[in-house]
Amino acid sequence: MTNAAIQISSVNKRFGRTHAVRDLDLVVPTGSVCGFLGPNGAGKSTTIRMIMSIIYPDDGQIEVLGSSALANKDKIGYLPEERGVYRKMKVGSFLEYIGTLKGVEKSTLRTRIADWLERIELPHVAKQRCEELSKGMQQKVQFLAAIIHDPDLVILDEPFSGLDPVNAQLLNTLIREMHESGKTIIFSTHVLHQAEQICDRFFLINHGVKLLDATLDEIHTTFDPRTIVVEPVNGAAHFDQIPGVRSVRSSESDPRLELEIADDADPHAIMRSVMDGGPVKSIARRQLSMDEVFIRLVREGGGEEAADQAREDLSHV
Amino acid sequence: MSKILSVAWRDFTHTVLTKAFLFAVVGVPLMIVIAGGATVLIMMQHEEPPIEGTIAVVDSVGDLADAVALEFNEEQMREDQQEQIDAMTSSAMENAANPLGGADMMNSSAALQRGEVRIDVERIDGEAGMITDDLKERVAEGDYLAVIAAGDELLEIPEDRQSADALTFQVVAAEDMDVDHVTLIQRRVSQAIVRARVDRAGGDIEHARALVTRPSAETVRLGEAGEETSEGELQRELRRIIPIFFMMLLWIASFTGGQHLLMSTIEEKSNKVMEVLLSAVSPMQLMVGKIIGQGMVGLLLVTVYSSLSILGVIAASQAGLIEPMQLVYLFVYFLMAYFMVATMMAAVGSAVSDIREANNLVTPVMLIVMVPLFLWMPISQAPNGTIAQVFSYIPPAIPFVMILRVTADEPVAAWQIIATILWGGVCVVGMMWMAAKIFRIGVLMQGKPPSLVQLVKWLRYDH
Repeated sequence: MTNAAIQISSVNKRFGRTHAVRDLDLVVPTGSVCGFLGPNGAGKSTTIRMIMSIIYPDDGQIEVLGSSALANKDKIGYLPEERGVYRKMKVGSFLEYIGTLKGVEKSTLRTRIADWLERIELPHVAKQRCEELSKGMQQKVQFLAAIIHDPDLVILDEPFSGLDPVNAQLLNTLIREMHESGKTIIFSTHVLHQAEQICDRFFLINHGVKLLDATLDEIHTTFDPRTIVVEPVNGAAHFDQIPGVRSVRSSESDPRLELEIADDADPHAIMRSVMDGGPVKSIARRQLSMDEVFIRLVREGGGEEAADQAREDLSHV
Repeated sequence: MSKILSVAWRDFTHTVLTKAFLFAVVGVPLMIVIAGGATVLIMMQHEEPPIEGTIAVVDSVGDLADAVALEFNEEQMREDQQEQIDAMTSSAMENAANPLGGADMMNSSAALQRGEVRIDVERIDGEAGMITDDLKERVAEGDYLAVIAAGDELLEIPEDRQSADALTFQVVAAEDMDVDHVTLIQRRVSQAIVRARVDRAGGDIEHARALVTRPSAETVRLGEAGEETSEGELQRELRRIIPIFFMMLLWIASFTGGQHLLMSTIEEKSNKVMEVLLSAVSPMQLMVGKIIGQGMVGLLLVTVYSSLSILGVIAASQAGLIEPMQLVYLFVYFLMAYFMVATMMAAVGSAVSDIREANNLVTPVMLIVMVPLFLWMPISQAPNGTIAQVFSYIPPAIPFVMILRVTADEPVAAWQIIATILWGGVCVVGMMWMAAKIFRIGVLMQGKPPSLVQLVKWLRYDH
């Protein structure tokens, strides 16, 4: 496939008795933003490390930008999960060093570093030692180290971890901008609502097995809860009388009602019928959030225990 | 290649541009030179307070008091000073080879730097070897600087040297007398006793001294063409020191580089910067770059220290002691030594997460590399002996043993030098291959550090 930035075919990786990645097939289209999801220990970082040729699969093929990551190191930006900085090194020197290793000329780097530091709202830190920065600032510098060479493919392992909401939003914006400029981006995360905002494709793996590989629209179609949420102006009407509505759920704490509709019913027709029956403050089809999809898939793949663990992981982010 | 050089340059600059390193390279030798110079200056400037007064000598016969008076005679003291200068020059040479002899040198210099001395001697007629309370009181009151008493047996010809050594005389001096003055009196009285003893035996002290003065050797060495090259005592001693100096230089430089390599690898692992680096360079490029960078650090040390040493021997007009070829060997064997130490340090550094964990793995490495230090003596004594020849082919002892051999007096066959360099090169490549295998796995390992057995197992892993 010529338009695939990454193509993984039947990849397996074992560490001793642990089968970290099983028969994984994955295609990351060029120019897409892909969220790589999965609970802790699912095999995300192992897969990413294999993509980066830092470790190698026991069997299977991985193609990155048409060949291997080794041949294309300078075209790939990588922010590892285990990331750090040289504590005693000055920020500017650190970025210059990493940029040089990625094959960028020093003269180009100097202006580029200054521009980027400005963009990540750290314009005056170039002369400061890395250890003098706060953890959040260091993370932004680490992000910069991953993309300072203007790569075609950007792989970010947990980029939002440890960032405050303001900086997470800034990172979100930068990822969007990179996407708009045509770069392929793949990132693993637990912050699913962030992923939902910027990703056009999602992969979910658990226990090294791929559980989901779809676009957001495909996910909404696949995981349609067949529910319409409506908030009537004059309290409960006789919504259960509308053809296609199976049941109406209400709660004391929430004025909205949930209409569960039949599998073969047309949701738009039902919504029209609801509005014909009287004024409503709001009406919409309910969609599962990525969190709910995540938990449901993990539960199906690994049972309740895995789902509980996934819920706990999500509650920590 | 440019990535390797970038890694090397970063490691080099970030090691040598630290205060700790600058202190170690420039500060320590500078401090030694300054401290040495200051000590010499202080010793040259230092003069004890002048001493003037009378020494009472309890002497029933009168010859001891005369002998003591003669010892404190100004002219005699000047002559003795000159003798001591001569003696010190030769003892300094001995001390260079034997640091334990330093005490003698200090005594000589102390005597040399003494302030003015004007001492009269008063004979007290009394029982030999007895100092009365009255005399002690006069010392306490300051009438006398000291009172001396020697038993008759000191002035007779001793039966043998052992019994002569056991004899003592008495000196009573004020508590606050300068210790150098006490030493001065002890030594002069001791000489006076010998003088009186020789007189009583009917001899002449100068004659006796001439008789017991030991001759010194004039060594002539023959060059390859049979030409004579005269060599003094100092040169002979320096020639003995040079091999150990070269080996220590090699050892310190390769270990300093190796130690920095270990620390910087551990730092990159513990700072979690390793994976960032591995996204830009391969583990092999990273390892080679780091080894080259820290190798330059070691080379800088070798250059600084050997240059200082060469300046030192030139200043001492002994430039001929170090041959240019020896410096070439130093360079070649430094590279070999460093690469051997560095590969081991890189492997260890990659496998652990902090310096405490490293200690367990570094200790065996240290023990292996310290073997040549223990073998210094037998190799120096027999540079072409069996031990020297066997260890010349056992890595990582090869460069350390060979530098001892090629800088020793006894020439080493050219084929042996070539063979050890070639074999050493093969060993370096082999060690580099093994280190790369361990490094590639180790740099990504976290948690419990591996045992030596596990490290060996890593050598068999493909990925």
